[in-house]
Parts: sequence; structure tokens; C-alpha cells
Amino acid sequence: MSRLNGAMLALAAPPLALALAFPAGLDTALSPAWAAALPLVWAALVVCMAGAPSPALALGLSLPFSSWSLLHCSSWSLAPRPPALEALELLALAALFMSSLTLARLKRRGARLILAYALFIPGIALQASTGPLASLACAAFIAALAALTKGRRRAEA
Amino acid sequence: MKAPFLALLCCLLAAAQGGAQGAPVRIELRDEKPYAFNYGRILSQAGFGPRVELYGTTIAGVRRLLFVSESAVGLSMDFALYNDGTLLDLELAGYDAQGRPLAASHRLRFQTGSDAERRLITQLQFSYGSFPGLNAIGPEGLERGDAEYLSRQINATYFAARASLLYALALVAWTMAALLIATALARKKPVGGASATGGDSAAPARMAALILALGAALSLTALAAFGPRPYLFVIEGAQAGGRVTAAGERYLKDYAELRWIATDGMEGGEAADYLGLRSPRGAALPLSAFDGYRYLLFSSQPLVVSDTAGMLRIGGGPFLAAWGLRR
Repeated sequence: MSRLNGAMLALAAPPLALALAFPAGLDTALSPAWAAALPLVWAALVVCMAGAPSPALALGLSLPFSSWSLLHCSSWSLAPRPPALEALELLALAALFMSSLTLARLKRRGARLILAYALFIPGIALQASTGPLASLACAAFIAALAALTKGRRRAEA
Repeated sequence: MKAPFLALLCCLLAAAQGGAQGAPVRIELRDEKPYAFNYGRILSQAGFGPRVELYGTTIAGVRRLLFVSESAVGLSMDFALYNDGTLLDLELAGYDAQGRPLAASHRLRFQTGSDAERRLITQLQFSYGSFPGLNAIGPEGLERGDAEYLSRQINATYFAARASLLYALALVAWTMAALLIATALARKKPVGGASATGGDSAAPARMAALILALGAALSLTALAAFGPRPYLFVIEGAQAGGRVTAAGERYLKDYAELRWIATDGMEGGEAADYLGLRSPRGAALPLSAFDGYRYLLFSSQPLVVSDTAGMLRIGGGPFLAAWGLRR
């Protein structure tokens, strides 16, 4: 098995096992942002620790798990949530995931993971409390910071 | 110079105070029947603000939120609330269209008289908890027992949340497809001629990422096309227990209904139905789903919401159970 396949299997197997065993339509559950973020948090862990080849690959593989989690584990609200709002929640989390991983370019795995989570987890908390637009803005800020850092590194080299 | 200025200031303050009191508001309750949904209308000469709430105070002095509207338009608004037989006062909270506080209250008539049906509904109970798998029932259906025991059996065996096989299989297929794509791409030699069998080259990973991202975008678009659907579970004549047969599933416009029949209960006549309400992602069940019931007893106070079209629904929330006596 190639390293690529191994990393992908490590990424997909635990959420897949959860999806097979976990009951659908929980009565009391997580906020939509946390529910959708859990598979992405797991993906960030695999990317940083097990060395999955690409954060984009991890994102592509994890997003359907995030949408499943959003469908089955997100908490109740008074009125039905429009599907477009859920798509926006996922989009904002995906942007946050990518931006936090692209900024975390440290050599040590543990430090990379800590930096990724240090940006990602508060971003999720922000989205859970204030909505997806706030975390989209946060992701844009981190992405700009990542671009600036990359530009400075190139200039120094 | 100062005196006219002060007089003008006083006049302005008085006008502002008068304005803050708001226009007259009235709560009209059409029927005041315990153990049922009571319908009514709120009239406000100055219209309604973005959110209007109706609270109820019970005989014991407990204050509960009974109704919420986030889409009131015009000078009147229809509402409904569940009267659990202990409600005494209604109190309106919110603002009118000009941002002034709305204040109105209504005292319910406490009805002491009761018929046999109402006596029956007051005696029914709910389980203190539901433990899926512990009360596996045989082909005979429900084991006979009191209402609390029946409630526990039904919640654990008929209405318990289970893993959704369809979604899980779709995710298995997704993972398999992703692994196959990655394997196929890793076997291909990159344009530069270097071996990529180990998967260390970034090229296959990048291509796999692109394909997966496109697939994920398509699956998310498909997901967005399906709105959440509330579920109503019904066991007709559940109070009698005994043999239970499936009576089919109906997928209506606003909700899905899954129905079973306890055949012993149907022969007896007055036996109560047991109902379960699930509201995934805030999917709210329309109140019209309960039109066939004369008396209803809920496991906890249901909140009625008025949706954007003015339709009355039971607001999304945790699983709710009810005993119902048909009309």
C-alpha cells in the first residue's frame, strides 16, 4: 500500500466506523459548526501527525463526512435551517481548515499541529457563536497572513 | 430665554414617555381547552416587531415560553399554544413595528369539570428515560404494562434513533472511490519521468485532491437540495399493549409519518395512541398533524412557532413523546 493510500485510509477509517455505528437524528447534539468541524479536526490531526501528502486531499476526503455529521449530529433550532446556510457553514469551515493548515509550515510535527489547532479551534468556536460569515472573514485574514509570510520567506531566500 | 426652552424640553419628554407606552394590544383566545392546542389571535394597532413571544404562567407560578413568531406582518397575528391544564396567565413579550414594547396579558378560565376521556389522559405517563436495545420486544409486539412501561418500550424499540445505513453506505462508497483514484494516480508515471509508485510525489496527491474536491462539491450541492424533514411516529391504540403491526409510512409535503397499530387497542375503542416527534435540524412539524386528536398529553411543553408563511408548527427541539385521544 502506498503512503498516499495509507494516509487516506487513516483519514477515512475512524469517521467511517462512527458513521456506521452512530444513530441518526440525535435528540440533543452539537452546534452545527462543531458537528461539521469534527471530521476536519480529525483530518488536521492526520495531515500534521501522519503526514498525509496534501491538506487539499484531506479536505476533499473529509468534507462528505462533515456534511454527514452536519446532517445527523447538529443540534436543533426553532425553525428549519435553509440548506444554503448549511452549505455556507461547511464552506466557511473548509476555508478555515485550509487557511490554518497552509499557515502552519513548521518543521516539527507537534508544533505544526499545535499551530493548526490554535487557529482552527477558536475559528470553529467563533463560527458556533457568531455564524459562518465571521469565520469566513477569519479564514480570509489567516490566508492573507499565510500569503504575506510566504512572500517574506521568498524575499529572504 | 431659559423658560421657553425648559417648557419645550418638558413637552418633548412627556411626548416621548407617552410614546414609549405603545399602542393598545389585545390577546384573544378562541378556545380554552386543557390538554389540547388552543388557538387565538393577537391584535396590535401598531403592528409587530421582528420577534413576538407569548409566555404562560402555571398555577404553580412557573413561567414558560409557549409561542414564538419571527415573521409577524400586519396588525393581527394568529397563534396557538399547548394548554397542559395548568396554565393560568398569558403574557406577551416583544416590540411593535415602531420598536416600542408590546404589553398584554390574558387570564385563562380554569376548567374544573372533566369527562372520562380527560380523566384518562391525566392518568397517562411517560418513561423517565429511553434505553435502546434493553427492551427488545418479540413478535407479539408490546409487553402489557402501565403507561410508563409502555412508553419506555416504545421509545426504546420503535422510536429509537438508529444509524442510517443509506448515508453510511454512501460514505463507504466515497472512501473506496477515493482510495481507487489515489491508487490509479499513484501508478501513473509523472510527466518528468520519476517514479511515483511510493506516492511520495506531490503530483498524484494533487490530482486526487482536485478530483475529490470536485466530488465533495457535487455531493454537498446534492445535500443542499434536500431540506430536513420532521417525523411523526404513531402507535395507534398503544395503551392496550399486545400485538403491534406496521401500518405503513406516508411521506407528506411537510412531514413523514410512520404508523403502527396495536390491534388489541383498536378493538377496545377508547385506548390512547402513543406519538413521537423528531425534528432533525430544526425541522418543525405542522400543528395540523394533530387535528385528529381531541386530547393530547406531551412529555414536555411543546413550543409553537409561526413560520415565515404564518403556518403554525411545533418548534424544532429534542425528541418529544405524547399520548393522544382521537376525536
